[in-house]
Amino acid sequence: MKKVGVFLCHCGTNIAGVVDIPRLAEEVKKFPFVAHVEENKYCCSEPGQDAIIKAIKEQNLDRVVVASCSPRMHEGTFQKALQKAGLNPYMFEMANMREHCSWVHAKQPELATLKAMDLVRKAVAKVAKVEPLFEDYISITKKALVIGGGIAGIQTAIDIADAGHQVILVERESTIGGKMAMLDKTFPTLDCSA
Amino acid sequence: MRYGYYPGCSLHSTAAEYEYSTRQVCEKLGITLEEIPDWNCCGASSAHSTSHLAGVAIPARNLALAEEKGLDVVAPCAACYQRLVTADYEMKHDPALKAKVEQVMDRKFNGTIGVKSTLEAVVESGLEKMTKALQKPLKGLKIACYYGCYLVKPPKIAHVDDPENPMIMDNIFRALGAETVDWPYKTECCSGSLVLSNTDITLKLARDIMQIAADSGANCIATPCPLCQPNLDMRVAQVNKKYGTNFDLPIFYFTELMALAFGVPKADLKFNKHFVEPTKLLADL
Amino acid sequence: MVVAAQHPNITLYTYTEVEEVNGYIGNFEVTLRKKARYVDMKKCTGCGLCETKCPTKVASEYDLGIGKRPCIYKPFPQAVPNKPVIDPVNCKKLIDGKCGVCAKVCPTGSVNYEDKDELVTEKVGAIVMATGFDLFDWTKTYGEYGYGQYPDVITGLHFERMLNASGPTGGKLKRPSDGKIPETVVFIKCVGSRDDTKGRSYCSRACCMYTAKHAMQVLEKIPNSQAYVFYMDVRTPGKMYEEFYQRALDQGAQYLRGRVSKIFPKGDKLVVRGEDTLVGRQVEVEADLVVLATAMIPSTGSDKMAQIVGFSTDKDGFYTEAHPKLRPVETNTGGVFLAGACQGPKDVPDTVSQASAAAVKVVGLLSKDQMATNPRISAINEAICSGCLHCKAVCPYKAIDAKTVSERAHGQVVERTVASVNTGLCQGCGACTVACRSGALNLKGFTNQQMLAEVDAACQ
Repeated sequence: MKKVGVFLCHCGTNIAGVVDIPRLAEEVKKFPFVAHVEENKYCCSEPGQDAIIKAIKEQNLDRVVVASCSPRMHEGTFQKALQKAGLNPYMFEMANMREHCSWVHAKQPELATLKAMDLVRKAVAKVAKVEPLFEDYISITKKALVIGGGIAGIQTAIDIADAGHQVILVERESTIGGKMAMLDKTFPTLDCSA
Repeated sequence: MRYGYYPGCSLHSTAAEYEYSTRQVCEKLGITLEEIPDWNCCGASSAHSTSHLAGVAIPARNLALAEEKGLDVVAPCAACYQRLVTADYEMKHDPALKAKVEQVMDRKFNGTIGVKSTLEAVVESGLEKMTKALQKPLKGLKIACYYGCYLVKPPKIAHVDDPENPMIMDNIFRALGAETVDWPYKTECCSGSLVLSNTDITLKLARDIMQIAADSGANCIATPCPLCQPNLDMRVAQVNKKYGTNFDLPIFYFTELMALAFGVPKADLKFNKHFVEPTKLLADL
Repeated sequence: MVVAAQHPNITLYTYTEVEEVNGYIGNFEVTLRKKARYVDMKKCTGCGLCETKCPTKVASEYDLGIGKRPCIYKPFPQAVPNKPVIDPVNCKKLIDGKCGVCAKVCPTGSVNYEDKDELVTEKVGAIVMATGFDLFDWTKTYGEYGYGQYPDVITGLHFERMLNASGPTGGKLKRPSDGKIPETVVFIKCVGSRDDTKGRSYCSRACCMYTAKHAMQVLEKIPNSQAYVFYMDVRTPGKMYEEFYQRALDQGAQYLRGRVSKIFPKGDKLVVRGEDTLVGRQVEVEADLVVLATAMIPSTGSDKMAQIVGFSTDKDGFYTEAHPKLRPVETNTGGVFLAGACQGPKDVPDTVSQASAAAVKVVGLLSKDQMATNPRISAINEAICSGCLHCKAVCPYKAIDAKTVSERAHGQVVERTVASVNTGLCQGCGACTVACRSGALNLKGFTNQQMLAEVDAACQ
């Protein structure tokens, strides 16, 4: 039997100021496979993550939905929490009820709450279908190529080289230096550019 | 080539010499001008400065009339040209406005015709035709081609030529044996709109244009605009008085000089309408 | 520059273009074209005798046409490597065989007119793009400033070349038209920047500061000089930047808030007409020299470079970072990083910071022996793949190839083409799954089944 845990994040007042979280929680409890629903002021904080880990262990959850911000923000954070709790980090789904909901519908809290329900329902439906995924490993050639021998290319090449790695610096002109070498003095220190 | 001719108010009154020479030039180049029946005012500049809708609808009616005849419009007056192309552009880019305009003028406009200035129509007939029609090369004329603002600005809408350094008129005169000077005031404002309200500014701007034309070595100015021409021509005496200068540059319509080159008799060209006496300059032509 | 050239860990390939990039993060294979220099780098001592004897002089690109250079040349005296190349377009010997002076005078016999391009292949784990910027060509659009017809209307970079001690005027500011020292210099900012109509919509970021510097340099170097700066805004968001601008004001630079509408010659002066919006009046300055702060744009050929390496550019042609705030030096292609103005206009301090940041990302990658890949990538179901390879055509990362599989059908072994996903190259964008007509491609973690479950839930 699939057991989904859903964590509803307030994001301070970012989400909770618009979306009616207690009402949302009541609704989410009715979704299929949902075994656990929990609110948190900040799911991404350390206590917030601990709450997720604790719930996974105590309730034997096998997959998790966090309804909070964009996955570009904190997907990795929550995946690590799953891993700590012994779950495959891909048994996870995020519902973005901040960027996709509370921020853009700040003036329509009722509609925003209904939309948040849809977003979480979607995430729960998807997470019910996910399977564990496993990372692959590839080898790494320990050499870098820097394309362009101006100020940016030279600085990058020197920094990588100083760290002990081989660097190839390619420049299409017959000399390195780029635009920098054309300059006289540079602000704000007015020292020479070469 | 056959065009719907839109004379506007100037060409039938203050710029009669422009009208006459335009018709002469077009005839020599095989361009037929068919006056748009029942044409009305283009609206400049009283309409568009008070009501946007009127500013578009008034010139649009003329376009609709020409479209009914199936003719592209030629407008010698730069201000008319501007109002007509602007109306055309706005209706093509704003369907809601077009619908409103059609309702106001109780006519359809499908946007199937184009609008040209006389300058364009003449050039499109080909420099070859012009050199063929050439009878009296304009030797000795050093012309400052003064395009004014209306034909080239804003460049998105009025695009007779480059907005800062147009050459279309220069090329005509060079083909007709005249010299044209390279000068930086080709598209500067002549202050036509301030003639009545702020004469001080008008005199300064007119002075600047004459000064720079003279400094650039010109012995006359040619323009395609029936607002620039009188505005400069009529101001020369006032400018000379106010600034203690001694300008005597004749201000021509470009078609007057073209007609002259095509052999139209001087006596017919109504040079007596000019304030600055051009006969001395044209004595050898 | 010299530090980079002498660093034992850095291999320098100058006069070299990147021809082809294959592979994926940790395992790139790069083909480089070393262009023919016609000078043997091993034998040449960089003595410079050939440069002084070359009879053909052409406009120097490096000095933006202000000065001249020979056809065997170093762009500037401190060039690294300090050895010349022959310009094959203008060299008389290479055009029609009639010259050969440089080979005759070379004391080490380094000149080789038979030199050919050479292709080199290198294996690398990471690539840093640092292709920089070029300047917006104002002469095409700014007719009111004369379309480049007035020699004394120059750009900030011309100004820099003249002030540079090794530049074409030996560090002296001179009017290109007559060589006179200019006393009244007008600077115009935002030429091509913040100008939707004629140029680009963005701010080029460095111009406010270098224009303040230029104004100061005019006032310092030329007695009785005057510097006027026409500006839209003065933007000084950097450490010590506002103070630097205030210094320019204290030294007497006249800042006029407004655009310049026209520049035209009057005698040997240039009349600069603009508006001073703070007093609401038209102003005219008779200038000896006008310096335009032109917009920074992506360097020529940078779009082609993005295609070769395989990542995207933004609406202005700058290289797109993976995230504007959180991943500013990475691209969406694994193992490809960004440094400097190729990502967007930048000044020197920002460029150096970003370059070091990119270096850290590279070092982080190279310090591992192997790395985990994102498992959310495309997977192919070979059983239902029809081998149409539409997926291959749409893949922006060159991650899909054809492969042949053998299978039994009706007692016979038949060979069949199917698509194959390279798990190192695939970035999980999903373009192929949309293109796949038979539904054979699925993005792991975003399978068709999972997406449909979401749609069903949303439609409840």
